[in-house]
Amino acid sequence: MMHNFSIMNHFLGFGKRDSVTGRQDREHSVAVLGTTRENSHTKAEIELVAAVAGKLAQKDFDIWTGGCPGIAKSANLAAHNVNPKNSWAVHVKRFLNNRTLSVRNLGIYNEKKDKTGSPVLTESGPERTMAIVEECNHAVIATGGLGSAQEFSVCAEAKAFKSSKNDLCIDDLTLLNNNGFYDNLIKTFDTIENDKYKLTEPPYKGLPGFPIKPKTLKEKIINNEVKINGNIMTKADIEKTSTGFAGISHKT
Amino acid sequence: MKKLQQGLPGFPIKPKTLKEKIINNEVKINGNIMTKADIEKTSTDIVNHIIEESNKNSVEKIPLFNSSH
Repeated sequence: MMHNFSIMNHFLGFGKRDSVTGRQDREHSVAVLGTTRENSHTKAEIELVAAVAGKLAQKDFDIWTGGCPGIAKSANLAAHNVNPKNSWAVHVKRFLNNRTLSVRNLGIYNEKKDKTGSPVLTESGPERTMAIVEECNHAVIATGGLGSAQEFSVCAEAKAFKSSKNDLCIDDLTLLNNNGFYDNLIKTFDTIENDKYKLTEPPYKGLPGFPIKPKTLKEKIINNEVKINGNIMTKADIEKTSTGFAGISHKT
Repeated sequence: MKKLQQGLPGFPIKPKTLKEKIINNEVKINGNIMTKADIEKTSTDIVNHIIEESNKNSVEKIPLFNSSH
């Protein structure tokens, strides 16, 4: 009899809420990830995730975020307004008291706690993403900055390399592709699969006496992009290119 | 030589691309011109998708017959 109720509850969306932790099972938990920015460009997405989170909370799904302003705050608030038990977050320790990266002061979500009852505080963004993945089997990923790209990549890698049912990943990933924001990243999947690298331009190098232009995001992150064409590399090319790496450790 | 695809006879399963493996619900929107009605419809579509996936996965995990009985 209990078994039949269990099936019925799943269809009705009630899930299995843990009586100790207060959290839903993974199948009834949804990660909502995306930008911390609240401006005109993100207004529609923020309203959209609020609508999604509110409707899911009405079906007793838990909403999980990184506890940030923007997309996360919007989703947490919508779920909290339906029922505070449906709103959850995991923090990065160093962002905890940063008002531009944390809305902990608003009290609109429950915090993931460890076995001792202390809030789980992660050391980095990717660690936080995995702490959220541990709780959720669904995700809605909106657009954003580097943090959102990291969240998407961590989820993508976990899913792509899943080899058994015990490997935790977001099995159901909804990507909000606003104005083609993720098109290039999706194209990269094709590049990875097709093994076709068509990079032809030499890397940028400044010359003495020329003013240093402000670094782009790409330049800030990748300080040694080696562009090659693997299809036509000779032994000499490999020798020359690999020697270039050896010089890196001598730089001061 | 390409790997043989598994599936029912006569219904070969197309190999999934990396994109298909990872993103099972790509929602293309234009945030600049979204109306309240668009948000209402899109959010309902996303919620329905998640509930459908959740139900599908939940049923897969629940054994319908207990073999010990």
